[in-house]
Amino acid sequence: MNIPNERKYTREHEWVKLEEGLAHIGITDHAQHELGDIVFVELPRVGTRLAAGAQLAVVESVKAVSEVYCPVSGEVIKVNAALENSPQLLNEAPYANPIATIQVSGSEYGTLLDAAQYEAFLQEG
Amino acid sequence: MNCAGEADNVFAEPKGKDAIFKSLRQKDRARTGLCKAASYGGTEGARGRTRISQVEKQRQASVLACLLRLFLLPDLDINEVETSMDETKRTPLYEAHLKLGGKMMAFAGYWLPVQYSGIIEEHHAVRNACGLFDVSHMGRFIIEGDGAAGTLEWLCTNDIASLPEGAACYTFLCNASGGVIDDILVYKLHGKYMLVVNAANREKAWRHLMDNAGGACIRDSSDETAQIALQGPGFLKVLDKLGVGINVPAKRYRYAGGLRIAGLDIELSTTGYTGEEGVEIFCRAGDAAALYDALYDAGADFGLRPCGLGCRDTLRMEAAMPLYGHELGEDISPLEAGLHTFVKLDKTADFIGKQALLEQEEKGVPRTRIGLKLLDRGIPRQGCGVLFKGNRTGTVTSGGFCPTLGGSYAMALIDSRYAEKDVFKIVIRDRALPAQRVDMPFYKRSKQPKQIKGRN
Repeated sequence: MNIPNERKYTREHEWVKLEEGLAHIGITDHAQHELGDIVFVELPRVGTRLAAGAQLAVVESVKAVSEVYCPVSGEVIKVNAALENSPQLLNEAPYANPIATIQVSGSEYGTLLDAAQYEAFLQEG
Repeated sequence: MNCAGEADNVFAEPKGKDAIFKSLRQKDRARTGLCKAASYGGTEGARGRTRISQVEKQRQASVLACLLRLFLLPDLDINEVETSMDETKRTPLYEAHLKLGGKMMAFAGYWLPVQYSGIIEEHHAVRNACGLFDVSHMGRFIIEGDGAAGTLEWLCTNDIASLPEGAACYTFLCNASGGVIDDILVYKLHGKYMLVVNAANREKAWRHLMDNAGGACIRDSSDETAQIALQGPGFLKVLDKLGVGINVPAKRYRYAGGLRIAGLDIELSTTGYTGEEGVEIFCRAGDAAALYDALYDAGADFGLRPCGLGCRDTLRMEAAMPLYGHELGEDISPLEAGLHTFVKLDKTADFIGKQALLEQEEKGVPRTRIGLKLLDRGIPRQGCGVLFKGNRTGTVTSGGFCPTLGGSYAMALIDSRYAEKDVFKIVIRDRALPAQRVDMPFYKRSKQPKQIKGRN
């Protein structure tokens, strides 16, 4: 399972990549694998303020609906509009395709799992 | 095809140890006293000497425990006992699914693959080449004896009396108020009938049959047999390679028995649940894995893929085929579901639910099934509300992304007063998205032959 090092992870299978106060958020390789063929992504509106743990997006695969939570508090400043027409990008390259970018206002990032912890979490099953 | 009891008949009544699996049925019979032809617990037959696994031993033990409890506690509900003692079962192809990388899920009491490579890829394989499905979880009942035809006439909405030899028909088992107990296929085979029922309704359908059996003898062949669906435009090439293509009936809903694939006895019918041409193949449970391998290997040149429940659903959805628990149910009549073709209100025989359905036909059905195409992005799912000019007029019964059509479609039961309207909205989460009424089926296979490419 692909779990890049320079990111943090949640137990709900989101990844966060922090760059100069901006958090790019997506779903992990494990998540896309479990969901199967993704056919729709409901993106948040730019400007939406979210508390950590609030719903950021909805990802639908052929067989299931899954909510994506926002791991850090902040404001949505950018969404990945390519996912509207090509939701399968989340299957093809989950780490190259964030769902949205958040201007971080909270301090939750430090509490998230690192790659090794996330891998251990996955292995616990 | 041969009659029951002869050695090469897939549906021959099992003898010896196999028979114990059916003892739950036997106790039903003992209770109702309806069957004349029971012959259980006989001497060990040729097929009775097969190795019995630990799981099967445990299962036999639990079956015996059930029997004991039933005799000791005659008022105990049989189905409660059965459910509480049954764990998720494996079809005879369980190992084959694992070997091919199937992602397994519990469905209607069985471990079945939801997908192998991916639902969309498998879906396209069935539309453009061919796919192999394990449908052994379906219930297979045999009804025979003097009263068989009359019993089925009384139980089924379709015209069983006119069913030609070697043919199958789709029909409903209805309750007195015209709701659907199950939607099934009835095959007429040398004076006997085979019923293929939904896995989830197997016990319910069995009970319904036993309660109304009259003089007919009914047995459950589900556990001794397996069922494999080979679907898609390339299916005949696969069967040609295995030497039985020539035996496939030209017409849909026809049956051919007494055939062999890779030395295994098989029977097949030109039926399926995908909207494509294809067959369903029946064999003995013990032969299923070898048959599956033979089909899989023969299909390599024709793009055959193993297919899971996921694409079975997307394929039937595109073909707008009803699914029990969605478009059909005990509170939904077949007329509401728009399936009049399979309800013969003018057949001479009376049948359960006829009166209620006649009244519905006269007065008009309160609800109607319609097809909708979503005009915005989103995925409609069962339970989503359907609005007309802001007012709730119905509910989505099935919906989803249709891979062949590249869009989202839904079937919905709506208030019949709005059945002719064209523009609706479907409420997905908190958004009402526009949807256009479209004809069903959403997908119709082309009559043009397709170029079939090999697997890899």
